[in-house]
Amino acid sequence: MSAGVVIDVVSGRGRVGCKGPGAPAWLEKHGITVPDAPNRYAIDSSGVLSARLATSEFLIEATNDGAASVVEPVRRALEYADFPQGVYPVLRQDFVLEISGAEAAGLFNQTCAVDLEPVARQSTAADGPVIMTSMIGVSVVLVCQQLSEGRRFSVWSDPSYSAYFHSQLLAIVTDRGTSP
Amino acid sequence: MKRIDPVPGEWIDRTRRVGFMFEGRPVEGFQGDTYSSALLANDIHVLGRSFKYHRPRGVLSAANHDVNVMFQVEHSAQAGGSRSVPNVRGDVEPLRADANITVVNTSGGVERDRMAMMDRFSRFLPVGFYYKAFHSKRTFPRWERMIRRAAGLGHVDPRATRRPTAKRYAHTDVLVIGAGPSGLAAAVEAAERGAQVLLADDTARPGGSGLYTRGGGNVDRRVTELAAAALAHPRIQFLAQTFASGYYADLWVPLVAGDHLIKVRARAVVVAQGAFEQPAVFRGNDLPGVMLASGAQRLMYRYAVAPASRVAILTANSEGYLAALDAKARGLDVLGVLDLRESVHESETRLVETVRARGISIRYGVQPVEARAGADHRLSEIEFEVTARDGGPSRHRWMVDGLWMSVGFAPANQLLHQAGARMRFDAAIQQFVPERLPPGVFACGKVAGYFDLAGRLTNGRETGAAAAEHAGVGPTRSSSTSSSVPGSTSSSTSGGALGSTSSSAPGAGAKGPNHPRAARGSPSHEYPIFPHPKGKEFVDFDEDLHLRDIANAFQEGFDSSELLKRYSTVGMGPSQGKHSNLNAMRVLARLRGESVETVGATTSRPMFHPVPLSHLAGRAFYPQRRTALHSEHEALGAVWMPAGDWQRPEYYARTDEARKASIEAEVRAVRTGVGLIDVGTLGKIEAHGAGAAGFLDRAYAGQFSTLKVGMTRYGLLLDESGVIVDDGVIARLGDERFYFTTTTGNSGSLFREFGRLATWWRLPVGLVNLTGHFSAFNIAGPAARAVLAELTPVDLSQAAFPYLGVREGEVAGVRCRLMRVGFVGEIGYEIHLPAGDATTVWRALMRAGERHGIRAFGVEAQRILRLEKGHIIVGQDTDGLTNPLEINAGWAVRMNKPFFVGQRSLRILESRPLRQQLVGFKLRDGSAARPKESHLIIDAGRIAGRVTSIVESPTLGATIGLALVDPDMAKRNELHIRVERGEEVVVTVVPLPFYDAPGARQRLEEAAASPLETTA
Repeated sequence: MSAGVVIDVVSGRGRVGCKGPGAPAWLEKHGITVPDAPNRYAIDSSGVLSARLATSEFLIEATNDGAASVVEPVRRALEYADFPQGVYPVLRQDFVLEISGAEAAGLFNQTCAVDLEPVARQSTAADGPVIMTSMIGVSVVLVCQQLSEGRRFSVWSDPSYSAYFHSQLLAIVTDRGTSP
Repeated sequence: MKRIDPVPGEWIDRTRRVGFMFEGRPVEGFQGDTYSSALLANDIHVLGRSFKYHRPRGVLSAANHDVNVMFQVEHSAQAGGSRSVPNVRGDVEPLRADANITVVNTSGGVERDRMAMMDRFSRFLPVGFYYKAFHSKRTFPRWERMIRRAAGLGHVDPRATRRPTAKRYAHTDVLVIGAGPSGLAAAVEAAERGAQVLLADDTARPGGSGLYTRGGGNVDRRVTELAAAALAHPRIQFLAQTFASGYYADLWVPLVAGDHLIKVRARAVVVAQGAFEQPAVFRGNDLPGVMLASGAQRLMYRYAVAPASRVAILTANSEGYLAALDAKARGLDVLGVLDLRESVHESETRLVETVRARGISIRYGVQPVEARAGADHRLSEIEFEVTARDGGPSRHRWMVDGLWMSVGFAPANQLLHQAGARMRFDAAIQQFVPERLPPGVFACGKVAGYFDLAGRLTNGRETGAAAAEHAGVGPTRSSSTSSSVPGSTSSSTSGGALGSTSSSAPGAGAKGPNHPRAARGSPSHEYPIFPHPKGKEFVDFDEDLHLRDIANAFQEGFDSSELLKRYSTVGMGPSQGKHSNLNAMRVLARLRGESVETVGATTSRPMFHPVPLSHLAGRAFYPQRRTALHSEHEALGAVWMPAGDWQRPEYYARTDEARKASIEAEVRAVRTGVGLIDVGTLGKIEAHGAGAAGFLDRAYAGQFSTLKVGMTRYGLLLDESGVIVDDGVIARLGDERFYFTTTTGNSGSLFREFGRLATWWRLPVGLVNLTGHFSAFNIAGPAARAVLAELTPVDLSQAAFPYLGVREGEVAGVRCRLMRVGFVGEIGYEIHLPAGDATTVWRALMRAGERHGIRAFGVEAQRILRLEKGHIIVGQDTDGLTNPLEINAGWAVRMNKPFFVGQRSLRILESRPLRQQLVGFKLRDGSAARPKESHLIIDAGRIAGRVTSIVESPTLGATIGLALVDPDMAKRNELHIRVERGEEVVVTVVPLPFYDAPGARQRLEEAAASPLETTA
């Protein structure tokens, strides 16, 4: 595991969102397996992350270049007004961070009131709970992956907060003390 | 030097000497010393001056409550220059080599404080002195200055730089507050059962009183083993020098560490904070040398300092006898034990024999008369009376330099009070104990009334088990709990844990005569208070209150605990009554002829202990949002202004223009050419589904189920009382698909409210918040259509794309939504598009508009433009009571709908006279003074309204504004506005809008050729 905190900005990944009663079946038809339960995520073998944010709301993201070829057709299918009945497009222009490193927990305990330890314990490299919470005062969607090199948290937020995220996390990482 | 031989377990490092300056003289201590212990080791005993009378004071508790020993500490080697910190508590602050310390609240130094003369005038400073003397407004400022000079504490150093003090969150199964024997036992037991435990203690090492109450021997093995087990346990995190500053709902406890605050959310909280030893009240009980026995024990065992050479122990419990043995073991001359009681409890017989065997005499039925000081201000002599068993009253004088008091305790139960615990006074042990605790809150050890070590350990262990169970952590071992916890004993007489795992199972507080501690005698004397004809028997050391003050306050009618506190200020000093409240309540109870339980304790509020403001301020999070075009605005010279969470360009500064000129040029560009404004901060929401139209019909005052696809309509949002809360534009993109905007500041809260309403109404509607993901800008002005036409294949003709139409199509190759709206009163198109593409389209528009003199315009220009058009801004031109009828917006309301939010209230309001009405006005030519927003409209000397908006219109060459006024004022020709310095300005009421009343320009009805039509 990397020492300190590693923060990667991965906003540029292919990403699409949709909701509506017809969304699960429609996504399945496009080769995207969605988690069975709300507030869960799963990453399939090709690297497509599918997060079920509510009963019928989904965030789909390509975690690698290969997965982008799966996600892009879905995104394009929702780009115009003739999208299928019961499926509503959700534009996702998120600012996305991946946070890892030995002291990532120390960063989170200064920025987020939610106990992420149980989240991490319930997560594997390919699935786990989805947490909707607040970080530095901003609403975020958060998941954790337990990788061989350690835990990695992915954080999605509204893109209008990107500069604020940059400045706050940098300040905290710069003068972070020991965690309790 | 008063340093004694090395003591096992001492906290000092004798190999590392630390020098510092005290009141201008060099002093030396050891690493690990506090300032107080180092000064005592150097035979310096007068460490401070009292608050009011400037009496010499020394160590009292050595437990973070010596509020008369506070220093101004200057660290000359501080990074970034020297820094001076006020009110540093000498009894706990670790020694630092670079420190230069002075005593606060003196004039001329601690030894020769000129303000000491105040002591001689004490009878002129009775209780309530402030209230009686300073009621005159004329003389108060002089008194205030004088009092502040005389009674102030340290001074704040303006050179101090801001220190980042991060706040942290921590989560745990069990939080144990206090690492004394019972807290340690609770922590280890809970951890053994699988719980994650945070164990916090305000000292540097775990063990609490178990480390220094030794009875002349070594630390009890059970305590050392427990401490070692806690420190080594993988599920226990020990937070040293960290205290809990309060208790908040739902097991939420802030912990104050050295440089930061930790907000702990626990599944169970165990309060094991022990008890504060209490002083006896007698004349001279504040002299340096008179201290709590536990304070002396701390000094001897932590810092190997003998606070005196010849001591007497004033006691009423077994702890005093243990302190006598400790003093003897450390080589002090113990003149005797002075027991306030007529006899000891039978359980103490062996202890008494041990004390006698050490050659220490014991007197019973003692009443202290007076403690006297020598020329060095230190205790030199005590006088006491002995009654009863020794054959009638006899008066004695002992020459001593130490008098250690061990006459009772007050439980540290402030957090339990804050948690909502119900307490009862247990007369058998003279202490409040928890009777019922809230779910998840537990108490153990002395705070719960258990004082003997075995009882505390058993009680702690049982409490730890109960806390773990409450936290949802089950037993993990098959063996009995006592076998796995170091220090556990089967001989304990302790009762059950004082906690509960549910509200139906209240904590079982130990009861009356069966209380295990009662069987060993009370640790607290019921009335250790001894009046003296000359007074100076101090009840409160913080505020210099003596016995007579309490009696006088009672006599003046302040006869309840809360009134007494406020009038006399007892318990309101820096120690917050930790050493005074109980005795004050005892005195009050006796004066009222009632029990202490009847009198009750005063309310305990956070903070439990003073918390540095830097900790509370900490790092705050104030989210700030930027639109996707932020860098474009920067490049154009934007001058920023906040708009809710957002940063928006107020205007674009140009080097050759002043602010006003820039804004006017931006207005002019829109009126005569073309302007472009970023409106990406608007809330942007989509509604999908068969219920979308019905949802909007119910949420908004207008009707949207009749809106044609491809058209937009203005929407007013009301609350249940018919008050306007927001407005926006609703566009119908398809039969079951709407896109609508909200005001900038309300987007987040409204989206949540819409979600709530959709769920409540059970409508088949899906809502999508696009606010940050979508960008939006408005291109407006006579040339707007021409500029846009260069970049889009969308047919912009009047026939194909009429006013209030909405179309989807590409602009500069990017798929956008175009809405023909007219907020600024010219033909305009709001362009909505994905935030990631915003820069591309913005730049393309700016390029295409160059030949038309396109200019970006900011919020200030937009405010002028919309006011010229008479358009309101919700929240500025409306207030918390304004309904649509009052702003002439009835046209936006469809009362004939079956239902919408606010409809019922509006129906009632329709039948009543208007409360106020929005009018337009124009400042008359030649007016010298210019009204401002919120200036009042005056009619016959009464307030008849207020100005809501006012601007200088460059288009109209006049100052125009809106005002909410009494309805009858709206019919008049003029209004009187009161401006600064009481002047009145007369303005002319004019019809709205001020500009282009027919709306031809925004509708593009011969707009380019039509002259400006104005009312102003």
